[in-house]
Amino acid sequence: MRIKVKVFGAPSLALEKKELTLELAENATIEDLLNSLPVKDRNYLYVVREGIRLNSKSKINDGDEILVVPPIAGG
Amino acid sequence: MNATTELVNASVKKKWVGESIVRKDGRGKVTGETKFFSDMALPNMLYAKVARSKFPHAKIRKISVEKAAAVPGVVAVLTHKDVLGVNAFGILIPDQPVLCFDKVRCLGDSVAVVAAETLEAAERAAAEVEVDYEPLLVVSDPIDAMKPDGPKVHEKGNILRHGTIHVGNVDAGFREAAVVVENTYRTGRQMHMYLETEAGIGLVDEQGRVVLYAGGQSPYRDQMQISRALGIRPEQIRVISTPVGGAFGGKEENTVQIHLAMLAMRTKRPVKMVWTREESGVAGIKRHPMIVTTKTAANRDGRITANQVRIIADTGAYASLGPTVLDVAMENSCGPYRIPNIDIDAYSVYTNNAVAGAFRGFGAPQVNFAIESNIDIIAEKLGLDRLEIRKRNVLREGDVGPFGYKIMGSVGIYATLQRAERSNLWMNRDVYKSKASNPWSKRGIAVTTGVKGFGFGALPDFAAASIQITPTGKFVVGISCPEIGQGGVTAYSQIAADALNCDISDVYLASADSDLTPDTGTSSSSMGLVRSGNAIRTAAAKMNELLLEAASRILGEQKTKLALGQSMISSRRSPTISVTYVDIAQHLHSKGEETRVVAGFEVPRVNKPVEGSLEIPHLSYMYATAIALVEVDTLTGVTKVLQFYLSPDSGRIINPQSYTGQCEGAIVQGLGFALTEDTQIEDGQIKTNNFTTYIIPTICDIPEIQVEPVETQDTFTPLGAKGLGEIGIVPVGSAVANAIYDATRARLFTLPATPERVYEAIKGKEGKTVGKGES
Repeated sequence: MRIKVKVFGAPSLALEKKELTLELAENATIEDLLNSLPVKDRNYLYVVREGIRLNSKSKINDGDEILVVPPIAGG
Repeated sequence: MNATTELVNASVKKKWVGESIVRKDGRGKVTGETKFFSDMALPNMLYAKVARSKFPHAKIRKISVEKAAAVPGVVAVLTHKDVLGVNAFGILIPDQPVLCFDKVRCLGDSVAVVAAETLEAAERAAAEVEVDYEPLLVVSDPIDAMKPDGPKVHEKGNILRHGTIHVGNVDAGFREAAVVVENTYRTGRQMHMYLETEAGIGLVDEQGRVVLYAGGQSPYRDQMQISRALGIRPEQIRVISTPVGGAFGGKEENTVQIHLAMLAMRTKRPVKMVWTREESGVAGIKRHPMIVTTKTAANRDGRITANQVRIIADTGAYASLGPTVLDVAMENSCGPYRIPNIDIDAYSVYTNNAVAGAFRGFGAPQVNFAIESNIDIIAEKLGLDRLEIRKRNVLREGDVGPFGYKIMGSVGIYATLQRAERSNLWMNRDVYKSKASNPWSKRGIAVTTGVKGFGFGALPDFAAASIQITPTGKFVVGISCPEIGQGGVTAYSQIAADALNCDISDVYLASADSDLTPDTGTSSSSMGLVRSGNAIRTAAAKMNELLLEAASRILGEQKTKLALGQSMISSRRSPTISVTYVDIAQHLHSKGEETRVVAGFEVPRVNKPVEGSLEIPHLSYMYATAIALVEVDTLTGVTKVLQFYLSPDSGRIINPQSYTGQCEGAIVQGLGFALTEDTQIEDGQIKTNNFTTYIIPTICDIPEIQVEPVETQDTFTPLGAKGLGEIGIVPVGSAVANAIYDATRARLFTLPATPERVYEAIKGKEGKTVGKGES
């Protein structure tokens, strides 16, 4: 299946592009997604779909758009 | 005060948004029935105390805890060796040690943390922690800290962040101007001074999970910071962040959480920590003091042609939210004005002072003082009315903002100026000014504007809410944004009741518990309502679908032929064919069907921030116009604010009474920023760390306040409501300072306007002895 991923902050620094299109196996989980990204600290990261945070076991669906974001705060 | 709105009986009303519903959490808080974490005690509980640095800047040669551990009643003494994960915290940049190991950078730094059977034993043991220090040169002045040969707070250097933004050509803007004004302004290091200091209880539950009860502004972000420091997965930690005895930004960062989690893990007993007021003064977050040099130019009719700004923000010893506070200062340094040529050069600088971070306004009140003072000076030089010059320059609906992006949200700043112009205070200003109490006192009045984005601007931001229908047909709404005093519990309930077509008494709010509520983000950046409100509406739409599907099955009627009514669903063909929420709930629960929904909301943003910034622009902003009437005793310099008027544009109003209360609270906190509040630090030593030496406004200092909102329908978010919590504080300092000038012809370039500063300014005129102003 094909998904879109937008990566922000420190995890994006090692990437050429901050917006990626990835091919993943059927039944892939967020853990599978993170395995394919240069993410160092998985415990300090938001993975979000449609405004809802996902955990490492969450299933990914074909066509998903997923944000990978370190905790941030602005004003 | 003008709490003129009629309170609504919550049991009979059918629509809730827009009504002054009595706060659901109000009675408990005003009667003292609400138990905050600092009030709580658990069986077998230990008491914790932090051993803090004795020097603002020093190397650590050796830490010895033997004497501390030998104090009777002591159960655990932890040092950096006991930090099993990353020995650092900080939301944006983890640069603050959980427990220091090689050096200390400010007096608030933690060296060891103790748990004991009694508070007295914990305090004694903390005092017995022996540290062999090698004192280092202290850097307290951010300008000194920027020098290449100054003492280094961090090895990488003292510049935390340097941001620049260039729009147009400021030199051309200065050349075409009829008047150019340049001044340097300074602002104070304000403390949050919440009623409840930083406090909490940590324990390990029967499943071996760490449970943290601690006042904070985002349980999930606290959970992640604890996880990183303890080296355990976030799921092994439960954080409950409410009730909070005030926050104002000061509880966004980790305070007691990580230390409590470490001690609970070590002792396997409940551990309580409550910072004393003095400890909160030393170790708590502060507002960034800023030095703002602003050069503003205008043509003959008062239209601004250029604005050049240099900002130096003292972020203290660690980053916390310093990088984004600087961004907001940059964004707001040009006010709510159309300015074609802009040049901003901004620094956030490490020093050995107390850590600065989030505080209501997030950098905006500081720069507002600068731009609004310059606008008044320009108006005087051009012979223009002070309100008229602002009307000529403010942004209008549909405008492209100063940084090149079209403003998506409503722009009501011109309307707030019009409303202020028609206010009794402004229309009769000459009458009010003529009534000074005695011959040596003088009165003055000023009008200023303010602007601030809400939310994280160009940074990604999202929120989720859950809704569950109970077996009795009520709804439990789950959101993780804590109630920090803003009236969120009631406002969220109003939004939910409207979206679910039920009575507000049928809505219960479960909030700020990482086990029970989805991640709704933070109660910060004036965004709690927008985040939670829109997430609740999205979840309610999903719940309504679930109810309609169930009703369809119960009634044998197609879903499309059903209509949602007040706590019931009926057939469009025949209203007598209906089923109540209670019946639907019982059906769902008895059949074991789904009764809970979760839905999320992603905040709209631009794809890429303005070059040189982190989060600029916001796509919608809050606006306000303020008027201050002051009386200055010219013999003592004491300034009394007699009346304060505020016309805010915060979009759709959810609860008028809460709205007025939020504005009044912001104004009063702004008066502290304007007149008295500034943490005094000399060579890194804090001189004002309690209510005796750090003076906040009391009821005796609060003027007559009038709040007249301009209610716009914001198109930025589905709810139509913008943020509110911060906009009321933004223009207060500038309005008071300009009113003092109007009264005395002595201009202040430094806030707070203490009696000493005002007196010296009157003696010296033009603030020669209190700032570096020149115009």
